[in-house]
Amino acid sequence: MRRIWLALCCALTAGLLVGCTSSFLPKAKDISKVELMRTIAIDGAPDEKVKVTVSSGVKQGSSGGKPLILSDEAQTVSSACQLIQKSGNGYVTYGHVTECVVGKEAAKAGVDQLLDYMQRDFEMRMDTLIFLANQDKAGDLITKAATKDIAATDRLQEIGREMPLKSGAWRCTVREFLVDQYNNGLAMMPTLELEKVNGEYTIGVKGMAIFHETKLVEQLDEEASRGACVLINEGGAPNQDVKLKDGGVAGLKITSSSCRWKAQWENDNLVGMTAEVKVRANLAELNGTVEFRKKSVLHEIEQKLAAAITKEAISALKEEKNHGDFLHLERELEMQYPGRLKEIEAHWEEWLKTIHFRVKTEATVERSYDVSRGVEQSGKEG
Amino acid sequence: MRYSKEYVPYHAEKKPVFDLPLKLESIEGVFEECVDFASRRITLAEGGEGTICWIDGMVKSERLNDYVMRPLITGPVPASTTQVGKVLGGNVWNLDVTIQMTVDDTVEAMLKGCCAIFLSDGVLTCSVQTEEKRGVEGPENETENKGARDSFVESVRTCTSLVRRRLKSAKVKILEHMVGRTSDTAVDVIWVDGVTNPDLVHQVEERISQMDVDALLSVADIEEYIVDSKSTVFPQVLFTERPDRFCRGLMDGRVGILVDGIPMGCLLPCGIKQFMRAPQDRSNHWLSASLLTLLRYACMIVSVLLPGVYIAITAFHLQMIPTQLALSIIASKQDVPFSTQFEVLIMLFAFEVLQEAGLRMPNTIGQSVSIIGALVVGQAAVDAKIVSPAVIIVVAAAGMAGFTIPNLDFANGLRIWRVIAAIGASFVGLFGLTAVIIGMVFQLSKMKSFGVSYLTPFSPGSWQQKGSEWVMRGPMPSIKMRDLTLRPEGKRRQK
Repeated sequence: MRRIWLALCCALTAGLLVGCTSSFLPKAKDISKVELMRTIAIDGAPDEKVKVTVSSGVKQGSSGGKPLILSDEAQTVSSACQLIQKSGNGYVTYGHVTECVVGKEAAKAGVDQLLDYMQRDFEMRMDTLIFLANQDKAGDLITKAATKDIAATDRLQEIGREMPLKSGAWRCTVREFLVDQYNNGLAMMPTLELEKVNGEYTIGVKGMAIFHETKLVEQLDEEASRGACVLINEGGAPNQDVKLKDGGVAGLKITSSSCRWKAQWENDNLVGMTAEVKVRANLAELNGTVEFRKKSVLHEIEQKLAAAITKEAISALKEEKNHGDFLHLERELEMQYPGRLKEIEAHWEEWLKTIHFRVKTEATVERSYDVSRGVEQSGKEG
Repeated sequence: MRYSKEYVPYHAEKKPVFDLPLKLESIEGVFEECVDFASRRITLAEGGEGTICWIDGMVKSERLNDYVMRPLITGPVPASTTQVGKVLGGNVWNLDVTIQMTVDDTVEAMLKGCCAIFLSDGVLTCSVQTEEKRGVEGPENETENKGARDSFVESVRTCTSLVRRRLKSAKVKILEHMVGRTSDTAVDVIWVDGVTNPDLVHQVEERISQMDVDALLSVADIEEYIVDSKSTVFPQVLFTERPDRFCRGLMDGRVGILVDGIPMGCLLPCGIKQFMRAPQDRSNHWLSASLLTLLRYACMIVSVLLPGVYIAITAFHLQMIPTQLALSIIASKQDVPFSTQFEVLIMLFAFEVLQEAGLRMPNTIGQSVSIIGALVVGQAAVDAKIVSPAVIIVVAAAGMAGFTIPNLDFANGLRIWRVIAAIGASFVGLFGLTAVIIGMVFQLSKMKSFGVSYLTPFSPGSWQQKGSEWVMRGPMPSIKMRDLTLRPEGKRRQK
């Protein structure tokens, strides 16, 4: 016991002698007084300032209601976030920010300040979803989308989940954006658009946007965005409607899609790259008087599906030629040909201008639902 | 009366206690003001007189009447020149007749249930003690579906017989010590010769023989005298009421202690592994037994840390918890006037009060107290916005997890550390909690029970044993070796 007391006294003395105050220890905050911010929007402001708008989720419990939206301006994102503390009722915490929206104006000026803040701040998470607002002010987007029952965060989380269904964009986190950015200076993030439906604002997705050196350079249209999804294997399980020769429409549910790149070399020069896309789909719906059990009809559906996907992929590859390697094909090539790493690193930019892209798509409609088959079987049993 | 703080020096036990000549008057003087002391003067069959003394209630009347008095008064007289010789030669029909030479021995024998016969030329004591004692019943606290239904009783001799019935070998050795100046309690040390480490036996014997107390009446009277570390809240010896578990411990190479008057056997050395094992682990399938053991370890961690972790993450490190959970906690905490720390500590206090109240009451009332307590503290406190539902869940979950610990003493130790962990977390969050964990692990890791590390099987080296049990139990045929950390003399358990 004497030794324990001695050790305690020594520890206490040592604690007093180190010169540190207790400020390095965390301070307790009453959780009921904490305002959890869920969405952060970054916009440009006059005098080279940054305007930060933050939104909480819909409030639960007895103090339920419209989400709390606060904003302030400062020279840096972190200062603006600190200033926001003054305007909240409780302690505003950013530890649960799950979405970050960048205004178009700020994106054109560059998002390096934001990315730096996201990396350095101890509260911010690298898994935060990042979006581009297809309007000048991202703050307006999250403010207008907020109602009594829904906050921007709810819609953005939903968008993150439904993106694979449309396959026109993919969810991108700050970490993924930074990885791509560090790779070759080009990265992409999905674009959001504020839509007015029945008098109420809602948020929708409108393709992907390309950033070069953290600055917005291009917004891809829907076709190119879908093509990019296919080429970098980010497509989920989208639907594709195919028009047939006799006027019918086949609704296809794509069950899997994979793209494998192959390079064509001449001596040590890269002359071409072929995207071998394999798509598998189920026939979900067929309109018109089409006899789907005919092999020729199925073949036609497969061909049309392949053509549609090829068209989308070509559209994305055209943008790749125009804006640089945002699909990160160089990285793909280096993984496939590690023996040619140095050559690829040295000549990729030069090759990208001259190489010829090909897309080879193989579509297979594997299954359908033959209602008559069940009827026949039960008839036989009877 | 005011008690002074003056130092009272140790005084060695006076020997002999009664320094008197061995005669009837001396014994009557010793038992003066003892209402249960009885004596009767009788005329012997061979002529002459004698006096029989006994302690009422300690002797069986029939035995005293039929096997001592009747033959002395009416029986045939064996040929002998002395009265003592005639009695020893067959005048008394008794298995255990002893010639006494001192008052101390005579008094001791009478207190154990003998009657003393004062003759003209000597004093004899005959064993006529009553066997009125509790019969062997089923265990109350260590129930098992597929195991034996008997348990230890207060009589040490009955307890040793229960051990002997299971381990029918002369290698089971029993040595008896009398402990307690006033209680003179029999303490039996039991081990299996050729299995248990003789040094361990010697160590236990030495510690028991060094005990010089006035009375040995409870478990703590022996436990706290023989363990290595007195300042820890964790138990260092395993008490069991099951003879089968006690015998299993002996066969593992442990030393057992049985104390007269305590219906429990004590096994040592013991560490965390033994306290986390339930009796049914040996009768369940090895896989389910092992999984249940792992579950108990998980529950142990939950039991100690959950309230502290809750305080730390909700009051200090809110960013650690998933967003939806944080939102739920915030919603449930609305309108509660107290801080999270106060809420948790007050609920822990309430939980302990309820538990204690339930234990102190008779079974039927105890259940009512628990139900009323649960209703009052749970539902009403939440409705009145005194505590948030999340805190009730956390404290209840920690308490329930603590109930899965098979050993009550160990669970009590964890209860204390649970409160310490919560207090630590209340000051500086995870820093405080981590400091408490470090303190607990430090204390546990430096503890030894008769030379065996308390944290076995997690202590260095103990996990390297092949063929013996680790945290998880393998199939019995695969457990070839005994626990080698006990340094048993016989290392192998089976072929």
